[in-house]
Amino acid sequence: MTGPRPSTRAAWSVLVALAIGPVLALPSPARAQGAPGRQVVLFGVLATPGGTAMDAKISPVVAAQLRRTLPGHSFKLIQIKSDRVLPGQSVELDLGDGFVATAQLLNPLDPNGKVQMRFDLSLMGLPQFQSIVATPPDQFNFFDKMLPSNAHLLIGVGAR
Amino acid sequence: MPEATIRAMETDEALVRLAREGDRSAMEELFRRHWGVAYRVAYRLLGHDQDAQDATQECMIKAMAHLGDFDGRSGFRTWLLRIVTNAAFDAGRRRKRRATVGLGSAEGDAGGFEPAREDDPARNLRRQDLRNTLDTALDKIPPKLRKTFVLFAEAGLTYAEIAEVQQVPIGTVMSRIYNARTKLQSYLDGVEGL
Amino acid sequence: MRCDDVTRELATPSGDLDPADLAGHLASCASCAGWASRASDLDRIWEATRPAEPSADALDALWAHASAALDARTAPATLRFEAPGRPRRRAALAFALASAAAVLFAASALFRDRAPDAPKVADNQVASPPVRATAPPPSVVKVNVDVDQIAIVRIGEGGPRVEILDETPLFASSSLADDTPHDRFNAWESMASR
Repeated sequence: MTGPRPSTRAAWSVLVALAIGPVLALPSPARAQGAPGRQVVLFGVLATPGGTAMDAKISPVVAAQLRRTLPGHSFKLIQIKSDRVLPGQSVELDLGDGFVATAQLLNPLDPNGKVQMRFDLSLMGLPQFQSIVATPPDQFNFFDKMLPSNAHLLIGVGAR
Repeated sequence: MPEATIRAMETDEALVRLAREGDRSAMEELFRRHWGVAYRVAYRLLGHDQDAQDATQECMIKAMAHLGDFDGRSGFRTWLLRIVTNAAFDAGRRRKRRATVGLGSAEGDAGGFEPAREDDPARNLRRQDLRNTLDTALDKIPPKLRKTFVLFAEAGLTYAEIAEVQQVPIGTVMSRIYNARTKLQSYLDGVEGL
Repeated sequence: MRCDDVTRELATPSGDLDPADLAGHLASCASCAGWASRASDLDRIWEATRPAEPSADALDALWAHASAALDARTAPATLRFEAPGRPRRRAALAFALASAAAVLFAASALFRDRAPDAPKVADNQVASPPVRATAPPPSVVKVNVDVDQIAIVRIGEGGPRVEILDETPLFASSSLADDTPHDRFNAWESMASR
């Protein structure tokens, strides 16, 4: 075993939380100055052909949108992350099986009133796909990666 | 008979058919015929004249550009108002309903298509106060009730047409109108009319 | 006759109740009479605040704008229409537009400084891959989405393909029609916090 034992890890994490908690509670210089930032949400869904099953963890409010994105599939939520980020910062999502998706905030408000983000998908550390998205706030856009099993890795990214 | 007059006598269904075939004057007649009601609905939902104008114009252009997607199951006006209510509502959410709509706003929305002003300035002010008060009351009721009531009271759609727009049973439509009206009345209780 | 039936009939007339019975109930029930009176107040306020529809001249301008937008097959630019004889409002609009332009300019300058990597995204396309010395680099797909659109980038063996769906609620399923992008963002965000 290369890392600390679980009990030790737990103790450490408590100590770390105690140590940095007060720091986190303070407004960061960027936030205190009202620096532009965005709440970025990144999620991964596994869509399997056939069936109409919808993971109970997926809100009915978004289920219809998923069905429209990939009709005739069952959907299972893999992972979802939501973070407030400043320009240059990223939200990273481990989707399992070596897939990692990253959304980096490039510009919180471009001259067209859109949010610009860079989206990256890597597999085992190797870049698979890159995209630069300019989108109105509040809207999700999707990346649909076909897997060898004919299932789809559906990744959504949006910002507010 | 002038073409405009002929066009004005056509039904919406006939105009849609012609417009889909590329008849620009049929499209124009549809546009002119329905812009007003679309705008009034957008205005009631947004509580702001210029936002309502923008939303209406965008929806009209979208509708004209997508006439091919109109399946004819409902009337053209019903189809259009479905676009308008949803788009106006989204626009309202995005813009968080402007602060100027609130009570006591002296710079509230005066209305771009305001009819000839009354001679009595006090009466005009009173009208503006009422408009602000009603906007505030509308803003307080749940969105689905607001949309339903506006389609009923402003656009004059039937229960069945609203049910078609909102994809709900007619009973739900009637219930929403009743609840919206009851809430609005309670918020406006004590406000003197004109 | 139950009071609830009476007020519901007043709010959403169905013709199921006999008008004479209805009148008799209202004459003898203070609660329902009060409800009816408030309903009448609401109707008066609603009528008094109904926005005016555009004049023929205004419709000419709106149609000219829409027609040009349809011809150009581009997203409609914002069109502000004003009632005639309101120079102060025009001046205010010009000031607002100038202010907005200034804010946008300042914001873009600010964000340019903070996000040096921010590219100018022009359209939905696959750009030339960046030059790298190591593993074969993936293409960079530029996606430019407008309001009421959803981009779906299909990453397949034949290379990425961008699909842009129109999310105008009309063209979406009924359950999408009632929920806004704002609702959906909230839903995803709340799933993340669970």
